[in-house]
Amino acid sequence: MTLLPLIYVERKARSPLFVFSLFKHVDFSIAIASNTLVSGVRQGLTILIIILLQAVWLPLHGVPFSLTPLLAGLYMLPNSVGFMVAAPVAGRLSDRLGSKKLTTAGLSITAISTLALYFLPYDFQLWQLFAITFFSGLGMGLFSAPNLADIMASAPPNYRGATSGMRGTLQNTASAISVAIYFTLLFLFLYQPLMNAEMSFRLSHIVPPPVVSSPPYWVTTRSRE
Amino acid sequence: MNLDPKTFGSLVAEPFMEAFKGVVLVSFAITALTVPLNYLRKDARVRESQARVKDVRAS
Repeated sequence: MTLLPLIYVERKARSPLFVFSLFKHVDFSIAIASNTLVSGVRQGLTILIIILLQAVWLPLHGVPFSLTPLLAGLYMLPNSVGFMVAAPVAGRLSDRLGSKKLTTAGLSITAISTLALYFLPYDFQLWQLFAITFFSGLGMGLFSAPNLADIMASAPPNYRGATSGMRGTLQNTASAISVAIYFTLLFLFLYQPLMNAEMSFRLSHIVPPPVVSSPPYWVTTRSRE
Repeated sequence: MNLDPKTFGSLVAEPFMEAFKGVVLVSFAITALTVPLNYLRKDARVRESQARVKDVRAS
C-alpha cells in the first residue's frame, strides 16, 4: 500500500533515495529483479523447509517437540555451508569469466534443487535433504556475488551508493514479503487436506469433535425466559 | 487432545507434503523464470568494453 506513495514522492524528490530512472537500463532491471525474486524465494523456501522438519519429519521420527526447533535449525546448516563455499569463489571467478555465465549457472543449480524438493517424500533420508539444501545454497552463492557486481557495474558511477541502497532495500523487502506470501499459499493448499485428515483421524480413533463446555449466553437467557 | 509426536507427524505428513509441493512448484517457476532472463542480458564486461570503444571513437 505504501509503495505507491513512495514512488510518487521519490519521483518528485530533488535527490531521491530510489532512483527510478535507473530501471530504464534493461540490464540493471534484470539483475536487480532477479536478485529480488530469488531472495524472496530463498527466504520463503527456508521457512517452509524448517516447518517441514519441525511439523512432519522430526515428530515422525519420534523427536520430542521441545527439541524440534533446535534440530530443524541445525539441519539447515548445509544450505549456509553451500553458500559459504560458493560465494567467494564465484566472486573471484566473475572477475575472470564475467558475471553472465556464473549467474546463469547459479540460478540453474538453484532451480534444479528447488525442483528436487518437489520429489522429496515425507519420510525422506536426511542426506537427501542435506544434498538438496547444500546445492541450493551453492547455487545462490554462485549467483549472488556476480549479480551484485553486475548491478553495480550497470549503474552510473554517481549513483553507485543509491544503487547499493536500492538493492539492499528490495532484497530485504522481498524476503519479508515472501514469508507472508508463502504462509498464505501454504495454508491455502493445506486447509482442505488437513481438515480431511483430521476428520478421518477423529473417525478412526472415535474422538468426538470439540464441544462447547457451556452454552452461549443467549441460549441461557432464552431458557430463563 | 494431546498427541505424541509420532501420531502428530503421521497425521499432518500427507496433507502438509501436498501443500509443500504446491508452494515448491511456485518457487521453481519463479527461479526458472530468472534463468533465461540472466542468460539473455549483456555481460557487464562486454558492456564496459563497448562503452570504452564508444569513448575512444568519440575522442
